[in-house]
Amino acid sequence: MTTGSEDALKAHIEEIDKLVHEPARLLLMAHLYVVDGADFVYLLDQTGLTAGNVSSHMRKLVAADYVEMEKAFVGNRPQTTYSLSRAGRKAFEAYRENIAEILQMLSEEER
Amino acid sequence: MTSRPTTLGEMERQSYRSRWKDGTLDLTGGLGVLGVGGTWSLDIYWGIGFLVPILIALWFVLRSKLVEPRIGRVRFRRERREAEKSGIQGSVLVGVGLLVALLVVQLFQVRSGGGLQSWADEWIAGLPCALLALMALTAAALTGLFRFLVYVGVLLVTATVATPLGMEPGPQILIAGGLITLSGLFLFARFLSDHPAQMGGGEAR
Repeated sequence: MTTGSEDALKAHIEEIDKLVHEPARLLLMAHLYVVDGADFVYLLDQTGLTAGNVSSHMRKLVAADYVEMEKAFVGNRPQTTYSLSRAGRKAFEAYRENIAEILQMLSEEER
Repeated sequence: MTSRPTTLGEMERQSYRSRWKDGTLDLTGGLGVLGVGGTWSLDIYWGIGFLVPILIALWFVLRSKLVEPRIGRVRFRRERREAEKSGIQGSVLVGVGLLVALLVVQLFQVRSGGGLQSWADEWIAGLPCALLALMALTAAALTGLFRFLVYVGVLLVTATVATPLGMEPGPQILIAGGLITLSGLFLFARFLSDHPAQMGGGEAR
């Protein structure tokens, strides 16, 4: 790898969005990316993560404005619905592109 | 989580298919087939008209009270929702057509009084089961689930085997409906045991 491409690789690695990069958050964001919105129980069921895990990661994603949260009552039960915000969708797409680029740079084959 | 999807598209399809894993559609569908068989056997064909709203209400109650508290609620993307809406409209059309066809078959059977060609007279008894198989086929297309194709097979095999034995349409439909209902009960019981109700614990505050 030449110095130029090493610098490019470094730049891409530095660009990695650490908020998205965490495995559980990446999984949650991927599940939210393919739908318009989902509640807390759906995310638990689809990801297999624990309630505590989902809760804490979703709080971080909401705080970063990557996820929008809507609270409501269905009957007497509280229901929290999550959806990826525009910023969250952009961040997820940018993350995918960046990681694909990094993996390409790190592949064993010559480009 | 069952198996790992490999693309986002597959993740979405798997998520959609998982919405039908609870067996309530199989159960209400099976009860519907049993109901058709029962009303047919008892010669109370008008009863089929009452079955539809009762089964739809039962399905909604099971979904909202027992299924959704366990697997949650999701709003799919517009393309998926539109495809689902078209599928449901298609199923309703097939269902209404089926109802009319079943009544026509019955009238034909009663009025013909054996006046049809012998092969047609023999095989007409299997026609109601075959028409119900068409309904199961639309459910298979709507949900993308293989097991609904198995139900199509159950209905067709029942008709093919039972008709030459001289079995009337009512008992044929009851046998096939019984098998589908048992499958639905098994799936629903397994779903309830695999998915304990979420009591809202951990819900983001």
